[in-house]
Amino acid sequence: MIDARHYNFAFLDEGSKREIRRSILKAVAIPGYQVPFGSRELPIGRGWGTGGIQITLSIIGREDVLKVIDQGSDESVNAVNIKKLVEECTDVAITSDSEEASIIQSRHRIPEIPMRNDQILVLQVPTPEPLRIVETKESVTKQMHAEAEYSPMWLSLFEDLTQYGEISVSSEYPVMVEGRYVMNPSPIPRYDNKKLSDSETLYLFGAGREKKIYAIPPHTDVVSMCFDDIPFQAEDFEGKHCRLCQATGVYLDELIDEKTGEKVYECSDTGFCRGRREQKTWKHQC
Amino acid sequence: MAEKMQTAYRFDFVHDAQKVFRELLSALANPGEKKSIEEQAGRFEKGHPSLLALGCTLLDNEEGLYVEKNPALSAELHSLTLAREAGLCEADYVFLSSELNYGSMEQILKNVKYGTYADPQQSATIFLLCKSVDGAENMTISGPGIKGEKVIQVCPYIKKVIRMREKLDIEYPLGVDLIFTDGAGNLLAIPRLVKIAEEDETWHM
Amino acid sequence: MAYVAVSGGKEAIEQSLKLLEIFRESREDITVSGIKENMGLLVDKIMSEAGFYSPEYAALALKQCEGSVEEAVFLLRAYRSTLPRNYYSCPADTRDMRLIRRISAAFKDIPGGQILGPTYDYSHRLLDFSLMEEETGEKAEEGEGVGSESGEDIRCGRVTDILREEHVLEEVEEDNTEPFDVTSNLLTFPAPRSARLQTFARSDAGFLGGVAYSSMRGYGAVHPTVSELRCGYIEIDVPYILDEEESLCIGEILVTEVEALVPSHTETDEEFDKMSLSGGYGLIFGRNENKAIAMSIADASLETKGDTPSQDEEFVLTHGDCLEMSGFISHLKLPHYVTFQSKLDRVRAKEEGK
Repeated sequence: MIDARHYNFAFLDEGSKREIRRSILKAVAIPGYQVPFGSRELPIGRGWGTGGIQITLSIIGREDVLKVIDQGSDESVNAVNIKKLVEECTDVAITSDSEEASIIQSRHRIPEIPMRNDQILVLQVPTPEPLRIVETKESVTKQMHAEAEYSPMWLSLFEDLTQYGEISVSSEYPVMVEGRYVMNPSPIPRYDNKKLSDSETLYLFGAGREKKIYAIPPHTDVVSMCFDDIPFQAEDFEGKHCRLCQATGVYLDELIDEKTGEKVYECSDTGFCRGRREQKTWKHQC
Repeated sequence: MAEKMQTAYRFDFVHDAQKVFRELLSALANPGEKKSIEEQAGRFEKGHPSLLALGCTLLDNEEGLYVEKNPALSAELHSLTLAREAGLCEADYVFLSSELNYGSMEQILKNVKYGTYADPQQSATIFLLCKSVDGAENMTISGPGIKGEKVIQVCPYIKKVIRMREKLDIEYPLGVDLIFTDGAGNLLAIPRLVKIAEEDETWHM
Repeated sequence: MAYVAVSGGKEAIEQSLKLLEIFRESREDITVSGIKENMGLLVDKIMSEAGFYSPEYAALALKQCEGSVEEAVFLLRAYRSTLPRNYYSCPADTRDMRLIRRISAAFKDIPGGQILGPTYDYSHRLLDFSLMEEETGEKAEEGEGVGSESGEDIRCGRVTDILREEHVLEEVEEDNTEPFDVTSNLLTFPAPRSARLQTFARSDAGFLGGVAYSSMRGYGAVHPTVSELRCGYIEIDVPYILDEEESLCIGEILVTEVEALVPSHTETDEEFDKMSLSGGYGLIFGRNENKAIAMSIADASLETKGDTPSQDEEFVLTHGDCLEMSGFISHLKLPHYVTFQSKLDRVRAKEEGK
């Protein structure tokens, strides 16, 4: 634990937490709308997940169980570092089991195992503004959201389509929320987009450097922006499987086998992969 | 001095406030589901414990507060949180300590901030203390946070207030979020996008 | 897989922190008060970019991070997030400043006089090898050294007060709206001037210098006259909680203030006849003269219209924060392999399409 004489529970002072909490409540009431907030500086770099961490620190209580993943991995240096900070200033339980967790903070992935209604997923967002690719100025994009003026966005997708024959946006694929707000789902792969719609869980998005908070409540309508005759395409892992747990139909990391030099695949969600393997060993033992 | 007040009320501004917030968050994310802040409200011995617990969770010197016809509650919330008193049209948070008559309620709904198209978050949140959130009135609601449609049982007053808000036809994303609570520490949130289903409307008429 | 190795993140971080401690350790210790006493200008720079006035904590931060400016600013900013904000100070009038230095480049004689004060401006930048041998404590033994001849406090009105009386300064209405606070609100555009000034005051000195330099050199048109540069102490008051009419002095802070003057923009003869002087303003924690001048130029530049970077409000106000820029640049060191995999998928799809 860090010295309680100098630091409050969950690091931030109560005034900062209250402001973030008020913003979160507004974000939930207006799904997909980016609520501006007075982002605080944290002991971790701006651009390293401080939006997500501020949300986590503002919502977390002594009884919570926290899981943090980066790129799907519990052990990645950034995930470890964030867990360490939260643990030091709250003393809450930490887990790598996504079913055990009450709060999961993540960067770039939504866990493979569907989340429940009593859990919250906090996503870290580097550039929250989905319209930034068509307009650099914040004053203009703010107005575009106000007027629901999204034709430049549609046009950009269409131009992309005509130029390449399919839409070339890879991750951070824009979505439309409740037919009103275009939203950046954070740099999750397209494969994860479908998990945002009509889910059981609450998604909170935090962008610390850009000072925005937004949310997708459970059972909210979230549609990846696409054209009627050109279906939205997730990443294609057909015919590929995880070399560790044999899973198919999940998001895979591509690696080069050090011995053979061949391309091999592993689950991106390491907690999910480990769970599958442990269950298998257990079954074998029976 | 702040120390003393906290001990007098036994409400822990760190941990109790966190609990109340999470219940409130869960209520807003799952409209129509009843949540409870009974334990935290119980830290206040007199006055309106549920409203005090909610106030101490959300208010501070940065926010404008309006309390209808209850100077004692207003003074208490101010001394606990330093929230500024604001007029109805400017208030960020409106606290109603009783079920006002429908005329007054309508005036409040008509005059609070709805936010702007550019900044819809600059809208008011109304906290309304009912005799009891529970009731025999069936209400079918839908919207974000609700799987399809959902039938809940509430007191008739709540349904009437939600209907009143619907009649105002406030164009989304503008709006006003409603939080109902009662002496037993129940919480029920009906954010701006939640609607009473059409069938329900005709069925009752 | 290299450093994103699926396991071992925890051990790797622990070892890295140990190494850092080894790098920080030294054979010769330096105390926090030693840094405060000897590195005053560096301490001032840290305080200004952190937006946090505490010479002692700034010195502590410097000791903790091997003297890195961005890390020290980072430490102070993070600590600041943990402090409750119970009071807002009353507006301070810099006419009441207890001066240690005050010059005007506009007039030779100014009421109150030019006070050169401590400045490197007229020093010869020759490495002074005698300092290699300077003994610690020498100064203490000399006892009553610098600053002991106590004189009276110097306070005086501003140069612009004279110009205002002559009506050559642009008439501006007093603006008493509540200042915008960029530390607790997201900046929106067009930004109120208070937000602009606060952002500049906390801005990275190098960035602000570059913006000002570009404007003076030709990407923009502000080549101002420094009406007055003053450096000194101002008292900070807060409202007394039991009686809002009264206030309490909580201490004084050292600041550098600059008022720069530029002729108002004229295109027509009529406008030329009405030409007056308008101002740019700079106020920075500590002795921080170039940053204060740069701030006044950047401020004046935003009052002009044009297409240069220094005239683009959103550009200059969103890219100068030390922490935001270094945070986002350094985040590229984090693994990005999920998004990279997704990009590969798109690139390969195109290749197959060909």
